[in-house]
Formats: sequence, C-alpha cells, structure tokens
Amino acid sequence: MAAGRSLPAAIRLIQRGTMLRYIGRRLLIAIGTVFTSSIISFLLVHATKGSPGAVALGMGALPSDIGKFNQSVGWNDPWVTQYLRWLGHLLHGSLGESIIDSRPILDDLLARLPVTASMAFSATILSAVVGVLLGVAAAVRGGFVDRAISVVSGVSFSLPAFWVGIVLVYFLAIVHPLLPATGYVSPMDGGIGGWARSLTLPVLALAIVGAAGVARTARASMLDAIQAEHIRTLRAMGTPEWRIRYVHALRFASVPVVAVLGMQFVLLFSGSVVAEQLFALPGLGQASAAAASSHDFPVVQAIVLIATTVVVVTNLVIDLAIGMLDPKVRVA
Amino acid sequence: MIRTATRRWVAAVAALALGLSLAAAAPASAAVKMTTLNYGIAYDPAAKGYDPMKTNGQRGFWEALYDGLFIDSANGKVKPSLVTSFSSSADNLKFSMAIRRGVKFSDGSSLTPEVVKMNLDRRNDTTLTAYGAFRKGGSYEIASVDVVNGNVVITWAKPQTDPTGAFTNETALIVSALGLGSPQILASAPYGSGPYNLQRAGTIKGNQYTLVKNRKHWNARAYAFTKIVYRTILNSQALANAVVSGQVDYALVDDNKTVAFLKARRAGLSSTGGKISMLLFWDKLGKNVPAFKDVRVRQAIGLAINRAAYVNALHKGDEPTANMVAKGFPGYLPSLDKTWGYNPSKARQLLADAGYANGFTFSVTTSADAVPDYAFLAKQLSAVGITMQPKVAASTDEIFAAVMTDGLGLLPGVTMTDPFGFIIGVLVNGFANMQKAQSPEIAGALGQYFAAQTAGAKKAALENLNTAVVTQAWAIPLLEGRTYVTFNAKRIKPVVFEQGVSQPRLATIKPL
Repeated sequence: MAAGRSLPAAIRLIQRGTMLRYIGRRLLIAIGTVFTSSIISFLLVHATKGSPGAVALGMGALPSDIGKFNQSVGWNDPWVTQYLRWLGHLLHGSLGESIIDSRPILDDLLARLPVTASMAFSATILSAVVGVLLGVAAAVRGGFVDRAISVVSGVSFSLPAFWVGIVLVYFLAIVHPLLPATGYVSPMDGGIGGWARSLTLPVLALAIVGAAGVARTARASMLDAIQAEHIRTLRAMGTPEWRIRYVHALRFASVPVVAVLGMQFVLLFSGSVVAEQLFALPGLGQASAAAASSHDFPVVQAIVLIATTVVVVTNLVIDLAIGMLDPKVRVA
Repeated sequence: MIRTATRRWVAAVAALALGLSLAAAAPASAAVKMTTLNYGIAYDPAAKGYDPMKTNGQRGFWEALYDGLFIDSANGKVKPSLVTSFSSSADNLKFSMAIRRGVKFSDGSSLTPEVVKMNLDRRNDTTLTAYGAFRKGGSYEIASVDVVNGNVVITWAKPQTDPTGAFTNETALIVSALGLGSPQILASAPYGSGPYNLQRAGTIKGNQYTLVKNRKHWNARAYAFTKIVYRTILNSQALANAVVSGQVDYALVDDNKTVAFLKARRAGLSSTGGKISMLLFWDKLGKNVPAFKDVRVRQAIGLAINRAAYVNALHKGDEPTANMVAKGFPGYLPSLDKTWGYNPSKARQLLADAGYANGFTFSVTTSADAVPDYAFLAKQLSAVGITMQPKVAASTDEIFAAVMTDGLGLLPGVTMTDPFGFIIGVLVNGFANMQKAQSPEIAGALGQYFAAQTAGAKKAALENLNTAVVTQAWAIPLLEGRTYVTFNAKRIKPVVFEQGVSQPRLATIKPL
C-alpha cells in the first residue's frame, strides 16, 4: 500500500492502471486486426480473375489497351509496392478512385456511411431498449407474462428481417400511408422529422428481430443474476427489492446482453444489403453489392476496410464496456 | 397502477399515430405546385458511367441528358430531333442529314456535323453495345461517315430502305466532342445537350440521380418539370410500393407481376403491347420429329395450349393471343384467336386424322430460364397425348444448334407491329427455316404484300400473311407481352403510351 493513501484510493489507482493496460492491449489488437484484414482484402482482390483495365474498358477492349490502362494505374507493379502505395494513400486520407467512373471513393462512401450507420445504430438502440425491457419483465414477473414474452420473442426471432420489412411496408406505407415505403432523407434535406420518417420502417424491420434476440438473452441472464450468490446475500442484508433487481442484478445480467448487442450492431452494419435493397437506401450495403457486381476492385477493397474497422471498433467498445461492467474481465 | 401505466401507453401510441399522420399529410400540401418529378427506375443507368452507348433500352434516363438525332415516335417509327431534314440516295446506299444549328452541350461547346461524325465513328468500339447494328455484320452496317457541304452523310454497307429505323433508343444520342475525349471523361459525367443537366448535389451513384432543367435547351418548353430525381429501386415490388405510397411519381414497370397490385391500389397505369412470344417449328419436314411434317399435327399443338391459363400462371399482365400481329396493328385478325385458340377436342381429332391418335413423344432443348414455360406447355400437350420432354442445354451453343436438331422452340418477345420483316427475314429465309421448307400459302401472301401499293392493300396482304403463318402452323403465337408504366394519378396526368414506342417520352409526362 502506498504511504499516505487510503485503501479505497489505492484500489481505484490499481483498478485504473489495470483498465488502462486493458484498453492499451485491446487497441493494439484492434490496430493489428485492421492492418491484417487490409492485407488479406488486398490479396483477395489481386487473386481475383481480371484486371482494372479489363473492367474499365469493357469486354471488347483490345489486350494492348487493357495493358496500357493496367500499366497507368500501377497494376503490373509488384504486390508489395502496390500495397505500400495503397497504404500510403490511405494514411493521407485517400481510398483511391473507382475504376468504373473515376469518382473519389472516400467521398462516395462518406456520403453512404451515415445512412448505414444511422440505420444500424437506431435498430441496435431500439432493440436494446425493447429487448431489455421485455427480457427483464419476463424474468422478474414470471408466469403468464414470461410465457407470453417467450412465445412472442421466439416467433419474432425466427422471422427474416426482409419479410418483416415487407409486412411493415404493406401495413404502414401501402394500406395506411403513414410512412414512406422507400428512400432516405438526410437531416439536412428533410430535417430530423423527415430523416426519422425515412428510417422508421427499415429500423423497425431490423429491430423487431433484434429485440427478440436481446429479450431472450436478457431474460436468461436476468434469471441467472437473480439466483446468484451475491444477490442472495444482498437480499439477506435487507437491500430493497427494486434496488436488487434493477441495479445489482441488472448490472450483473447486462454483460451477455452487451455482447449480444455488439454482435447485432456488427451484423446489422455489415449485413445491411437486404434492408438497403428493400427500402432503396443509399448505404454501404448497396454500394458493396454494386461494386462487387461491376468488379470495381478499389471500391470493394475500401468497403472491406471500412466494414473491418467498424467490426473492430465495435468489438473494442464492447470489450471496454464489458470490462467496466465486469472487473474480472480486465484481469483476465 | 397497471391501469395508469396502460393509459400512458395508449396515450403515447395515440400521440405517435397522430404525429405520423400529420407528418404523412405534409407531402400532400406540397403537391399543389409540382415542379419535381420523382422518376423510379429498376436499374442503375450509370453503372458504367455516363456513356449512353454502353447501355440498351435505358432511354428513359438518357433522353433527359442527351438529345438524339431522331426520337421515337408512334408505330415504331422515329421523327427528327437534332436532325432537321434528311434524305436517301436513289440506290438507298447514302443517307444525308442536316443537323440543327444553335444547339449547345452542357460543357458549352456547340453541336456540329463534325461532332455527329465523331460519335458515329465510335461504332467499331465493341464496348459500346448500342452501336451493335452499325458494326460489320450489323443490320445497319455503316461503311463510312462523312461531312459533305455541312451535312452528315452515312454510306451504308448495303441499301437501307428505312434508314431512320437505325436511330432508335440510345443509338440516336449525341455526345459532345469533349466527352468523347477519353472513356474516363465520360465515365465520370454526362456530356450531352439534353433538356436536363446532372446536379452533383443530390446524386448518389446507384441510388439517386438529380437532374435540373437546362433552361437554354432549344426545346426547353416541352419539358414540364424543373427538376427530375431518378430513383434507382432495383426490387420491382419495392418500386411498385414506392409509387403507391407516393415516393415515386412515375416508373416503368419492371415486372408485370406487380401490375395486379398496382391496379388494386389504384395507381395510374398505361401500357402498350407489340411483342409476341411464340413457338417456332424448326422442323417442318419431319426430319427430327416425323410427326411435325403433317400440318395437322402442328395445328393440334397450337390448339392444345390454353393460352389464358399459360398467361395467368407465368406471364401475368400479358395477353393471350393466336395472332402473329400485335393487337391494333395492320394485319391483326381477332377471328384467328377464335379459330386457333384453345380447343383440345379439335386437337385430338386432328392428331387422330394425322395418324397420331395415341400421341407421340419429342424432346426440346431449353435454357434454364425457360424451363417453367416448357414445363407448363408440356403439361398442356400431355392432355392431348403428346409428350414433350424439355432438356436443359449445357451451353448457349447447344441452344443455337437446336434449330437443326429439335422440332420446335420457344421464341419470346418478338416485336410484331409490322410482321413482314420477321416473317420474310426469320421465318422464311432465316434461322427458323434452316431446312428451307416451302409453303405456297405463305409465299403467296408475301407476294401479295410486295405487290401492294396502297395502305389498304398492304393491310389486306398482312392479314393474309398472318392467316397463312398461323394456319400453316409455322409458328404458334402464345401471348402478346405488354409493357407498363405506372404513375401517381393524383400528381401526374394520364400518360400516353403510343403504340410501338418502347416507353413514353419524357416530354409527355406532365403534372396535373
């Protein structure tokens, strides 16, 4: 124990040091993961049949013209040289240009990122709120409430998001024209109200399935938490029941829920293609589908990099959140 | 406690519903003065950049950005646009066009005959799919393009009696000289002289293209909207939903399966026909399928097919037909539908008369796409004792070779607004008659058409030609495909879909 310091302060310092080391370790792993994935995506793109010249000039182009084009964009250079050049551009804030129409990739993806991100964030938050409420209610109330929530969440969990989307569109946009069936309105163009209206149906479609998964996880972990030893001790000490349930047990139960939410955000972000096609949203999923079908290599590579970064950052945030909620994780 | 909580929930839901209703009502008031057209399209028009020659059949987008030498007109014809006058030489080998003066491109440069020549001289670039007809071996093969006395003169490789027919859809569109500088330039921006210019703000590639009116356009007054937002909605049902729920004002229907939904939801609909899908008998001499030598057997196959059921099962929105000519066009005969429509008992009788009372078996080569069609038709034929066995081809070559090895095949969507060209070019002298079979009835009707001098005489000849082909059962027409456009009838005037035009022109779309 440090001289002149009280025991709790020293513990906090040790805990802070442990947390900082934990954060540093996770950050290093995250950077390494992004770096590795950039190499893999680069290699995959180069292992694919075809070349930028063949894509840009089309099927009928002369081999000599394709060769000239490939030479002009450095496609014939050694892979290491090409990768280092791409990395250099990346460090200078450039993701290169599309080989189909020469537009700067970063500008295009930055315009699309808010669409996918706002959809994934909103759906995750909505499914977290609804899922935790339902899961906790099922665990705490038990009986009919528990059975009803379990059945509804079980059914909802098995529904494909695109089918839920079709049903929502039918009832809320076609039969009762309350919300737009397709399209995205940015907050700058349509204000917050217009933006929210344009995202409501896709977010609902994704959140209904997501909330069901969260509810089932929340219910199971809450039931475990309520029966945990330290909760029984708190009860024996006379701690009020509401405090036991909604402070101590809920905190204990939130670790798996946070993990599930993290996974869900990653899945929603990287798997947004279907929702974006169904609702005609100009997001990253739509861009990745278009780039893959037109063999626009640099765009595919850039989207893979962004998706990987999102996954890694989300995992980092989730790890840190779990570390804060559960001190045992930090030490491990 | 529970009741209070319930009341709060009910109040919250009611407030949300009210809010949504008010928000939903907002666009209706904005519809009073409609200056923006939300145009739905089921494809990404600029997936390969802004060179219109890299696409086919996407005129609905390109005509806003590019002017054409000619524009599509009724009955499959074209009329002058950037061309002010034109003429052909006596031998139909040269085609001269005077080009409109004072036309400016979006880059500020002027339209000249030299620019038109530069455009047409790109024809041998095989990446430009729209120019296929102009290349060597194409139906409008161009030998050379020259500028003579301020006119553009095209020299055809062979005489062309209807040279303007070469300039439909994208082939007529003209790009500025700067745009033609390199493929990369045209990849990133359009360089046309059309009634609208692309606006970068509001354009998201593959999702939305915002165009603003080019007020300096030579024909600007013909276009009603100051802004057009092309919304790419790849899913056909989502596109229909967007029209019904008001995000899209006008759209070309991508899948006729959505037509019933659009009708039920009272969306505006306009359509045109013109394309006939048919069974063609490759083998009329009985070399591959002996039974097909007998005209009664070929007729029986046509009579055994319930076309209405076929359309209802697989081609909703289209129309059953037993005519080789599209409805409403010269040569169309409603009586053929009655005489040669579904009649299984007559089919059985004809088969019995031909000596096939117990039926017979034959196989057909099909692509994977056409399997459902063949499966349906096989079931229909089995009802009169004929066994048709579809086998999926392993390659495209095998499908092409079927004209020599099989008895019949399915040919979808042939434009039959004027059947003469198809009948003489394909049915009599083309790939549908590799065996060089002859029919005095068809030859006689063709002769009558050649000799016809007046419109009335030509119409009578086409009716005879139609009758001869159907009666001799060289082909069995099954359905007439319909192309639909849908629109928000509360915002857009009913759209006129001229017969024979692939889609209504932009200038014909007007707000209420």
